[in-house]
Amino acid sequence: MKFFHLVGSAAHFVTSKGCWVAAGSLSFGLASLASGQSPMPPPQVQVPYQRILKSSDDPGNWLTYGGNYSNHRFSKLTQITPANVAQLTPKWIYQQADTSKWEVTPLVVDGVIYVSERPNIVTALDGRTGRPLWNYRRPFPTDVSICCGTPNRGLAILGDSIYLATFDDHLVCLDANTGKERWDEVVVDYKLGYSMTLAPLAVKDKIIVGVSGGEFGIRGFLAAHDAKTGKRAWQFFTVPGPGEPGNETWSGESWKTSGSPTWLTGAYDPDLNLVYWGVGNPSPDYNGDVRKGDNLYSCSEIALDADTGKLKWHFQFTPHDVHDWDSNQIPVLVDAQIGGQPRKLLVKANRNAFYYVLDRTNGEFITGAPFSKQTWASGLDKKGRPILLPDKEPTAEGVLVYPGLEGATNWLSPAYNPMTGLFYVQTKEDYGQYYYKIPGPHMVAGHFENGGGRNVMGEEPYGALKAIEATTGKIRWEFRQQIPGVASPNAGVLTTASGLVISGTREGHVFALDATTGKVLWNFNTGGAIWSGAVTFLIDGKQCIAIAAGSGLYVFGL
Amino acid sequence: MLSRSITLLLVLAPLALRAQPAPATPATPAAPAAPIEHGTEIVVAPGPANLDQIIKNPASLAEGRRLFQTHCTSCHGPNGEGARGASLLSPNLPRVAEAAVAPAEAPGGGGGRGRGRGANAAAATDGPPVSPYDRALQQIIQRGIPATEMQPPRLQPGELPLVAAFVKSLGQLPPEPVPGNASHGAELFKTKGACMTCHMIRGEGAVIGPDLSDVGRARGVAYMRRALTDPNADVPKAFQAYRNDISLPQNFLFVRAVTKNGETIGGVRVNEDTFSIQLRDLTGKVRSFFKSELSELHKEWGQSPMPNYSAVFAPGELDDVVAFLVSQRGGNK
Repeated sequence: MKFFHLVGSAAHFVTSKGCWVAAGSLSFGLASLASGQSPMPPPQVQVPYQRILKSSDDPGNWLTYGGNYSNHRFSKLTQITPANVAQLTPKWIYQQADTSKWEVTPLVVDGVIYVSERPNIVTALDGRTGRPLWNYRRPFPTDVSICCGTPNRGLAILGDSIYLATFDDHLVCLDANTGKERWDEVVVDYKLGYSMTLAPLAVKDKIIVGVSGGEFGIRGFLAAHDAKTGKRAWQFFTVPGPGEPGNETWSGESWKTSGSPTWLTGAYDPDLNLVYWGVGNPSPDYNGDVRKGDNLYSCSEIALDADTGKLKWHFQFTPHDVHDWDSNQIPVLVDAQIGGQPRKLLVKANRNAFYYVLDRTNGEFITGAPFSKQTWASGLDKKGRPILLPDKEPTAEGVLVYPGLEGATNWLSPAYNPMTGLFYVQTKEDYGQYYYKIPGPHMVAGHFENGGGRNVMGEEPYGALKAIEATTGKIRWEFRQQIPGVASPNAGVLTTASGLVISGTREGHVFALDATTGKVLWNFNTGGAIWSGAVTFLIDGKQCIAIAAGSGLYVFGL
Repeated sequence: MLSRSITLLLVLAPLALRAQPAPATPATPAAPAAPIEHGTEIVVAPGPANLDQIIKNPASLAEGRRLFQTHCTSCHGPNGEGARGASLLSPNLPRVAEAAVAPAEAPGGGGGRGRGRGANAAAATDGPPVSPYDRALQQIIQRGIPATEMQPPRLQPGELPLVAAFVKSLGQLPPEPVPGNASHGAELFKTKGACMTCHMIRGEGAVIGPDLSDVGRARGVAYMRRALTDPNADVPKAFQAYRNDISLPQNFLFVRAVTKNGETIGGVRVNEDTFSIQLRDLTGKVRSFFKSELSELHKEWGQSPMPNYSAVFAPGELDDVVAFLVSQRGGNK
């Protein structure tokens, strides 16, 4: 049954009963139709908060960055199995406008795929064919501070709106049906060193965004904006100001240029009404002399009240970090038994090479263990604080420490499979660096780092996808990957109820492993480095897998 | 001797020689992994300087040497004699000379990955005039050389001219004596040494080992003599599985693959990924294997298949072959 045709360019619509409607725009036309009496098409996009809340039970779609509010990247879809995954073939490939690395995790809603493209481009794609349905472009100024490229990792959807955090620190709301801009709010002035690269998180009636800029002497924060109007609802500074608890952990005036950004998407627990977010490195990165103290809440997990942005608890992974070990990695919420008791957990594989299990009701440390080679701590104490080994701080000449500054893992999303109880994460192995510092504080052309890392000649780091027991940190298996040069693995992980783990390599292979054993079941060479997270969904009732590789979005099916 | 001191330093100087600049592969908004953006920014401020003025000042030159040994020796050797990177013991470094005659934005193909200004655009504000060669040398150090492993060092403001002056001073050292007879060496290279069963010079020979058509631009007498008499001395593990050329020591890796059918193939790694490997066998043929087809894969890290030529050539003949090799400055076309 055809509800309407578009006639010429005059935007006339005719319903199946022959009722003509003239309209100035498609959305207006649909609104007019919706108020009439004839059988009306529902608005194309409807993703109320309640639907995101239940996204685990809606596996035909991918409604939020991490697959659900717990960031599991786990799908209940079972059409693609270990037995048939080797038959996957590409259905279509969409080429983005830009040719640089593409870090997006797509959203998928009722057959439409929404991607952000670098820089500040949003495209809606027909899931059956890969043909664009609409495209939104927004220029951005050339003087934004850039530490590491200008990626955008994805979008949020709520109701019938798409939300984009732009590189130049605007939060933009688009009509998901058409790509038309609804509002555009400045989150912060980019001239102060801030940028945004993350997918926003839609929680109830708010859109939460965090900032990058840990190399530019910013003062980090997390902000929530009203989803309807764009108005600021709350803001939480990740570095306390004078008079606030924690300000004493920064010597002198160092809190003012303290970094501690919030550049990756967090998690949300609706029962506790808490938003969890990882906080990045203190500034300057490598010379801690000018910011003595623990430097709260840098390199921490923070739990905030979703309605007010008030701090409920914090846990600092790396006090007084001097190795750029951001703790922005994706927090994963796990409900599991520990010692026979059901526990609400938050788990994280940290850039500092330790895996942590926290109680997410109060932030208490439960257990932790290294998941990758590290030479900076002899272990974690009872409260989860690292027990530091001597002489691991950067020096003028350089001191060799594992992991190197890109970390044992980084921004790439892990996955958690409740059926295997395993946490899957891409890691970088055999990777140390000589960390050096430059006296300071010393702002060089806007950069506020005071040091860096040099690679170790004669080492060939490799990538390893590791399966870690979520409640203990024990490593069950690993799948090694070649990495070109000293590049890091940068693909997220997807896992399914049928027992698959899907990820990609920097060389461009998409691969599938057995979720229990780690055995390779399938791989496909896309020819483009993979910097993105795979998602799975249904098109015409058939399970598909999408992943960005090089400048293409690849959609695979059986 | 020089060659011995390189070997000793490789073993004894863990920082200066083992450290190398990070490649430009930044991963996250918070990981300052790439010196590119930083390096180009840092050194813009002072502008190019007259290097001869600095060379005349012993304190400045000593500071330049210290900076060189911090930032450059891992590739260029402790005294600029070349190692992974080119020898700098020349008054007329080829890349610099090319850049010096090129128009304003030219050196290294534009290289404008950062926001640094071109060498010619950044006029010195005061002091003696700056020659095009000095300007180009500073610009190359400032920017690195795109598409090579030459990354810009992370220098502080004001340090660039000091390093550049030290590099220039290396070219003013008396040239290394070349004792042998190059034309006799050319003959030995083809005949007694059978070198062309592996190496190519100006289109003649085989492609298993590195092309030697311009090895003399990058390598000096001591290095070449060591390469002939101790071929494994400078074949470190390398980071890059793939380069356009196979070159010692940057990415040469000899591998031995055993197929599930029991065939053993020795060859040089051309490329490798997680699931496959491509190698050039000893006949020069490219062989490609999925790793699932192999029962064994041995990587002979640090090993060269080249024989020790002190057992092949008499000492005088070795001098002749070295003289021939260091005279190869022809480009590889």
